[in-house]
Amino acid sequence: MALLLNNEDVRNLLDMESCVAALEEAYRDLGENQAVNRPKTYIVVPEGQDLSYSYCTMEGASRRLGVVAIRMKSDMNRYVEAFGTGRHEKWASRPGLFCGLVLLFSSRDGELLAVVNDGLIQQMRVGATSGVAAKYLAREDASVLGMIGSGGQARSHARAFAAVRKLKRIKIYSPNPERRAAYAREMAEALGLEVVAVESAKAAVEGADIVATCTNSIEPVIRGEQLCRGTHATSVNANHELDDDFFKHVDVTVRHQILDTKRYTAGSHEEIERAPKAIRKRRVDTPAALPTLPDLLLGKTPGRTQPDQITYFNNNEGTGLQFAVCGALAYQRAKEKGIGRELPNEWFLQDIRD
Amino acid sequence: MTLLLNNAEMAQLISMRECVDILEEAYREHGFGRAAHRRRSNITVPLGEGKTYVFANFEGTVIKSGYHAIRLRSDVNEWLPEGGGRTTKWASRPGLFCGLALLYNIHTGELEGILNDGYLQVMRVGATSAVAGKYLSREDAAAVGIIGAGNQARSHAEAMCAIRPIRKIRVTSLRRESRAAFAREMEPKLKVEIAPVDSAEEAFAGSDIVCLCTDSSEPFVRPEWIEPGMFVASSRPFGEVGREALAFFDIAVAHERGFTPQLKPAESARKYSDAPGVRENKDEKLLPSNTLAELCAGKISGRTRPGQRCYFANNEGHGIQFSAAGAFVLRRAREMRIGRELPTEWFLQDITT
Repeated sequence: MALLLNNEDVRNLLDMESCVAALEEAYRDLGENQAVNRPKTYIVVPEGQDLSYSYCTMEGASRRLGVVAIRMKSDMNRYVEAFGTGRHEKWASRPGLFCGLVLLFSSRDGELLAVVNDGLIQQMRVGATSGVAAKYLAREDASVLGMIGSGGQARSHARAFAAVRKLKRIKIYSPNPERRAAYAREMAEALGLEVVAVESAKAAVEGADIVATCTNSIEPVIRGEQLCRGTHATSVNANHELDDDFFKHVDVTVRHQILDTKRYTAGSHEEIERAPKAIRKRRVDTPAALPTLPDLLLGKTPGRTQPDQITYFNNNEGTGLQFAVCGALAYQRAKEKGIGRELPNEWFLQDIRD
Repeated sequence: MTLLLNNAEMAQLISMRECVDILEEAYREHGFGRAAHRRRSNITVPLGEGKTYVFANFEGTVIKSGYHAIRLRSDVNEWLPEGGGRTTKWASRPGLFCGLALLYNIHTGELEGILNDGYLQVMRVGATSAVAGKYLSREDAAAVGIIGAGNQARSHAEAMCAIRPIRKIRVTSLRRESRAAFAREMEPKLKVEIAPVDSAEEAFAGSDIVCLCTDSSEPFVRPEWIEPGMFVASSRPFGEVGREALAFFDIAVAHERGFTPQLKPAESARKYSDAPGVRENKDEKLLPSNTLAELCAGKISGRTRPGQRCYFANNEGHGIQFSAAGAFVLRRAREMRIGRELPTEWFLQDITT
C-alpha cells in the first residue's frame, strides 16, 4: 500500500531533532557519493501580461535509505505592485491553496511508497538543513538567537537551532507587530524559552550568537556591520536579505549547494518578453569556490576555527535529497503508527512494459 | 476531481490515428516555440547483484493543450540471465512496472489526471515515428519491414498502417515463436498480410518503410540494406543504426537533440560499474541535427523526391507527447465518464511552498 500523507500527518510524524540528524547523515552520504540530486528545474508558461504558470521539480536519491523522491510544485504566479515594491503571489486552484507534492519511491523494488503534501516537510527540511550547518559553524556556547521573519521558515529555523544548541533566548523582529508578537507567544510555548519581540532587525541582531533571516523581502534586512564577533548567520534568501558589504564582515562562508537551476519557458520570443518577470534578483557576492555543506561535514573545509569568527551559511536552494530523507522518515513512522490514507498499489503499477 | 486512469481505460479513449494527429500538431506547436519541455533525466542507483534502480522523468507543456505533463518511471533493471547485454525490468515484482503520467491544468495549477503510462507510452512511440513517416516516407508506401516483435513493433505496425496504404508487413525477431505470434495477432487486427522472415536483411528487402523496434545495444543495420526511396525509423537510435549506416541517408531527422542527464551516486557507480545502465554512454554524434518539431513546423523540408533515403531517430520520450495526448484522453474520459475520481483536495494544501 502507498500512503497519502497530509500536512497534519507530517506534523504528527516528524520532529526537528530527527530531521536534523537524518539530514546530517544524508549530507555525509552526498559528500561520499552515496546519494545524488537532480538540480531544480522550472517549466514556465506565460499566461498573460502579469500571470504565468510554473511547474518546478527536483529529485534526489539516498542509496543507504533505499529511496528516491521527486518534489513537484504546480503554481499560478502573479507579480503585483504593492507598497512601491514588487510582490509575488502564487496559488493553485484558488488563492490560499497550493499544489506541492512529494512522491517517494523505493529504490529497492521501484514501488511508490508515499504521496506527501509538501508544505510542512518543505519548511522542516529547510530549517533542519540550517540546523545541520549551525551544529558545525555556531559557537558551542551559542545561546541567543536573533530571528528576522515570523513565518513558517522562521518557526522551523528556531526549532532547528534549538535542536543543535542550548538556546536561552530568542529575539524576533518582523515588520508586522502583531505577527512578531504571535510568533513570540507561540515559540516561547513550543520551545520553553524566553522569546522577545523587538522593534527592529538591528535590535534582533544585537548580541545574538546565531542570526537567521527567514523573509521574502526584496530589500536587505540585515547589514554585515551589525553582526557581533563570534556570530553565526544563516539566510534563506541571500540575494535580497543581505547588504552589499555583508561578506566583508564574514570570516567563514559555507553554502548549501552549488546552484544549477534551469528554466524552460514556453512561448515565442515576443510572448516571453511580455510575460511577468520575476523580481530582479540582486546577486550577492558568492565566490565560485565556496565550500558546500557536505564539504563542511566531511572536514574538507575547516569551518569555524576561532570563537570570535563570524560564520555564515547560505541556505541557497533546496534539493531532492532533503525530501527523500525527511519523506523516508515520515513514511517509516507512518507505517509504524498506522497514520495516513492507504492507496492501493495497483493504482500505480501496470503490466505493460515500455 | 482528479481522474485516475488505468491502461484498460486508456485503450478505450484514444486511437492510433488520433494519436498521430495530436502529436503532429504538438510537434508543430513545439517547432513554433509554443511549447516547453525538459529532457529526460535518470537517477541511477546501482543495487549490487547485477541490479540497478532507475528513476526517470521528463515533462512538457504544449500551451494549446492546456495541460502540463510529467511522466515518471520507477523500475529495477536487471541483466537477463542469457546474457547478450539485454535487460529486464520490474517494479514491485517481475511482470509489473511503475510508470505514471501526471497532468496539471496550466490555467489553475490543479492536478487533474494520474495516468498509468503503459498504453500511451507504447502508442506514442509508434505514433511519433508515424508523424515523421508522414513527412519522410513515400505517399504510396505499401510494404513495411519490422525488426523486433514486441510492444513497439506492434505499435509501429499499427502507426504506419494509420498513415500509409500498407498491404504487406515482413517481421523478423530473435525468436521464431515471437514473430509468429506477432503475425497471428496483428494480421487480423491490421487487416494486412504479415509474413515472418528469418533475418533483418529479408525484412529490409523491398520494403518502403522499415521500423527498427529492438533493444539491441549494437548497431546491426548494413548500409547496403538501405534501398532508394526507403524510410527507416529507429526507436533505439544509439543502438540500431551505427555511424556507417547513418551516412547513407539523404535526409535524417532526430526526435529531439540534447543529452539526457545521467545522475548516479559516483562511489557506487564505480563499485558496480557492470550493473545495468551504469556504463551507458550515448554518443550524440549518432543523432541527426534536424528535429521533428522543425520538420512539422516547415522549418526544414521532408522528402522531396521518391528516390530519397530517409531516416528518423526516435530517441527518448518527450514531455509534449504526454501533454498533448494526455490532455486528449483526459477530456474524453470526462465526456465518457471513464476512470476513478479522486478528491483534488488530496493534492492541495493551505501551506505555501
